Amino acid sequence: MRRRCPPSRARSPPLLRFNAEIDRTRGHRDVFTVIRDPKLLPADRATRMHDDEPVLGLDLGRVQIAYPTRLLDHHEIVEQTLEGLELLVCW
Amino acid sequence: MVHTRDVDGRTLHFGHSGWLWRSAFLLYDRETDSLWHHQTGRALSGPLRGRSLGRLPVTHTTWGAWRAEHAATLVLPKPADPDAPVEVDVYARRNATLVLGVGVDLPRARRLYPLRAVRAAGLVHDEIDGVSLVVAADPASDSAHVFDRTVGGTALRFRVAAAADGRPLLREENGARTWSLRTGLPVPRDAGHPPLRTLLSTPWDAAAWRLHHEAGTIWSPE
Repeated sequence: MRRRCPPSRARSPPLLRFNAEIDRTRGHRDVFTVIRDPKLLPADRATRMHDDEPVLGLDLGRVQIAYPTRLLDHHEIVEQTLEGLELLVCW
Repeated sequence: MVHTRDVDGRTLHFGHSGWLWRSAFLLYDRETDSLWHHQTGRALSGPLRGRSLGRLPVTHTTWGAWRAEHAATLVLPKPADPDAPVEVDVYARRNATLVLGVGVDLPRARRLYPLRAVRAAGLVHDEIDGVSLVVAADPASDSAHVFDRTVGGTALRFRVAAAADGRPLLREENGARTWSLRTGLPVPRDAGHPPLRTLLSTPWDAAAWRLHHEAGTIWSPE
C-alpha cells in the first residue's frame, strides 16, 4: 500500500475570526447528497467513461479507483471503506 | 482530496455544511457537529477543533491517462439515468476564471506551483523545507505531479521523455533510469530501481490558496 501522508499541521484560525468569516449564504446543510459505499465498476465495464474526461485517481496499492470529477461536482463527498481504510473523498 | 475518517479510533461520518470559508466548503461530522475544511481535513470549530484527518495522495488526471497507468482500475459509476448532467462541466464558467496551481504541504513550508509556469518550465526542480522535489506538468490534463527526487541519498534532476506507448516519463539527467511521470513508479516496473515518493499536493486556485496560506510562498522561475 502506498504510504499514507501525515495530517495537515496548519494552524487553525482564531475561532472568533473563523466564525465571522463563514459564508452561510451559499447553501444549506446537506445541500449535496453524500455517496456512501458505492459499488465500483471494473474499467472494462465503465463504457460511459471518456478518455478525456477528468478524474480523481487514488492508488491504494492493491486497488486503484478513478472518481469522475463531473460526477463529484454533484455530490462533493464520497464515503467508502476500502483496503481497511475509512475513506472520505472530497471535491 | 482523499482523507481517512478515523479520529481517536472512531470513524466519523460527514455531510456538507452548506457553508463556505475563504472559498472552501466546510464539512461537518455527524458525531460531534465539528466543522472541517474539506481540502486540509482540519477541524476548525466544534469539539474536534484542531484535529486533522489523515490524507492520501491523489492524482488529478484524465480517464485515459489514468487507465493507461492502471489497467485494472475500478471506477465510481455514473448514475443509471442517462440524462443525469454528469457529462458536462457545470462549473465551466467559474473554472475559466481560475488560475490553477498545485499546493505542496510540508511540515514547515507550503508552496504553490502555478500550472502555467510549471508547463512553461517543463519541469520544476525545487527544494523546500529540506526536501528536494520535482513538479511535473501532466501533458494530458490541467494538473501536475509532485515527487521527492532524492533517490538513494542523491537529489536527482530529470528530463521529460516518452515511453513507446506515449506515456510521459521522467528520465534522470546523466543516467538511464526512468520513472512514470504520473505515478513515480519505475519504468519498466521490474527495472530494479526504487519508486519516487509522491508528495502530498492539492490543486488550488491561486487566489484561494493565498487566503489559506498566509505564510506560504509561490514558486516562480528565476
